[in-house]
Amino acid sequence: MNIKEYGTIQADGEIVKYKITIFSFLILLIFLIGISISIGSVKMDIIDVYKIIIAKSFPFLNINNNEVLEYIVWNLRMPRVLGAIIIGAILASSGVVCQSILRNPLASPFTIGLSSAAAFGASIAIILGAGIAYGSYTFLITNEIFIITNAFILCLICSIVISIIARIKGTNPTVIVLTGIAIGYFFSAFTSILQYTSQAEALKAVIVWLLGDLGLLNWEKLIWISSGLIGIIIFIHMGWRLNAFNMGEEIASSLGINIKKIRAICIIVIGFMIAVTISFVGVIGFICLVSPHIARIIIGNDNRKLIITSSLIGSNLLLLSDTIARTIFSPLILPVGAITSLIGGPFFVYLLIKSRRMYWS
Amino acid sequence: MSLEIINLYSNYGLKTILKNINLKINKGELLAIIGPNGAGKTTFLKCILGVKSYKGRIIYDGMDLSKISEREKAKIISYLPQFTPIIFPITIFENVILGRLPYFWTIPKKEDIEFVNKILEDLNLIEYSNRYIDEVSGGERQRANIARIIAQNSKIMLFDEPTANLDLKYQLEIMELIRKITKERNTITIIAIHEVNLAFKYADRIVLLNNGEIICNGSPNEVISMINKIYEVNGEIIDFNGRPRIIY
Repeated sequence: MNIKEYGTIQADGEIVKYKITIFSFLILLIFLIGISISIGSVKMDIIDVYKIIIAKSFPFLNINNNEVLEYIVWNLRMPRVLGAIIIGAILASSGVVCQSILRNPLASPFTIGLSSAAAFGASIAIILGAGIAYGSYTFLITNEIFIITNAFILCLICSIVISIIARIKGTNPTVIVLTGIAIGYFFSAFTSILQYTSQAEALKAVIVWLLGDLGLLNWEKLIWISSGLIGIIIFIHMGWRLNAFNMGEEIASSLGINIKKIRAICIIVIGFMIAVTISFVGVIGFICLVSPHIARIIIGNDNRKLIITSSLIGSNLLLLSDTIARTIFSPLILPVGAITSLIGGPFFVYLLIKSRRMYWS
Repeated sequence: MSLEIINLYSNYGLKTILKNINLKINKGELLAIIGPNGAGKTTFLKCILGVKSYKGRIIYDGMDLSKISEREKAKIISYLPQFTPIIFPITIFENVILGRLPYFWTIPKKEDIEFVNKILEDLNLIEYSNRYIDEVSGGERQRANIARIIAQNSKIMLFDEPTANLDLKYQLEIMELIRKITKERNTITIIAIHEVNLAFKYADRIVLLNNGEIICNGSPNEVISMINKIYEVNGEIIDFNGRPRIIY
């Protein structure tokens, strides 16, 4: 009977369950990394993949590998795999916090208009950039910095506008969600007008961007994207405070939490996390919604555990989706956003049916 | 130490909800606020908590409560609102340890956990501590909420309809518990309550509100004579073990 060490006898059982969950998803992730890197136009042994990763991560071990394979693994495939892991974690954790602060199981950074704002920014760069500067679609590939910066800035502006409204309107999360939806429609309307007036090649480029693509990732971009991980650290730090939101706003206020302030801060941090990811890889939306719910079914609604578990689920889901997207009809690469929904959707429904109880009301 | 409410006014838009409330509540005192629907009971509690704007002054131990931070205020005042739907339920243990939130930033300290364990044991909640708050009965859920209030270790406890939606057994149990912790911990306790007989049975003092004004402020025996008039009913007043009751 270990009552004093962590809470209660029952809580000890919860901790064990949590540790097993984290361990299982970590093992699955390591396995998926090996599988994902070993599959491609150049096939390789999964053991070689792990050897190369260990050799590059710990150079002092002096492990010798085939240089060609090493180049393929480390320079061509690893950024994409690592990108999927990081982006999956960022999207999933931002989804958890979005649901918690807005007390809405349907809320996600994408339902509050952030992706629509980013899509509009990217569309301006792709469609108007092509028309004004060169009139050629090739221009966009070499100048993707416009797409990234436009998407980033508009996504961030959208989050700032929503957080200001959250600060003004205070304790009504429904107003925030509805405002986000309205802003989303507003930007979507502009994007539609741009698409309607664009040329076929530019239109295709916008659609490809909207479906999400991890193929253009490299180490340099990964460094930028990794800055979104700071958000996860902030949210883990705020875990208990986010738990107070679970009990309702009046109780959270009575526990010393400044609801308006915390909500506004979280929305801006979420805005940054989403901006820094989707501006590089396009719209990959379903992860934000489904990963938190899968995590809730497994470990409950304690945000401290939920943020980490959901991040791991997001990483696994996006890496699995991307691996399938680029291999199932190889050499044709399918849009990862669509595959994420194709895999995540049925799995989510299966969990909902099998689940002993609902973890949201 | 006491809680003083001086010239308190509060309104929603153009409608005045509370008018010129003046009240002093002492340590160890259980005060019940009663009154018809719309009398201003909940608004009164929310003003003390600081989540509803007001004019006037609310002073505790010489401190103007409107001038201290949320976190510091949470160490002074705890609040149990009326039943609110929970979207993402947490376990009873997770709920109770939230009461320690004003005392830690990232991770609860060992003392916080020990304190919560003690409360769970005292309230016979240990066996439920890993159950989700929406899985237990209304009475157990309310006991868990009171456990969180105790964990907060505040000087002033505010309860808004703590017996609503509970059966008779749990109504009595919850009121007994609130009275017990008020006396043991020497807190200032204010309960907004509809069930007037529970107020007459357990409160030290009763404030009768109507249309945002204090109609009567005194002992149960002093207040009960006003009940028929304010509630527009015709009840019979009886004495039960030295405390009045009203029978309809």
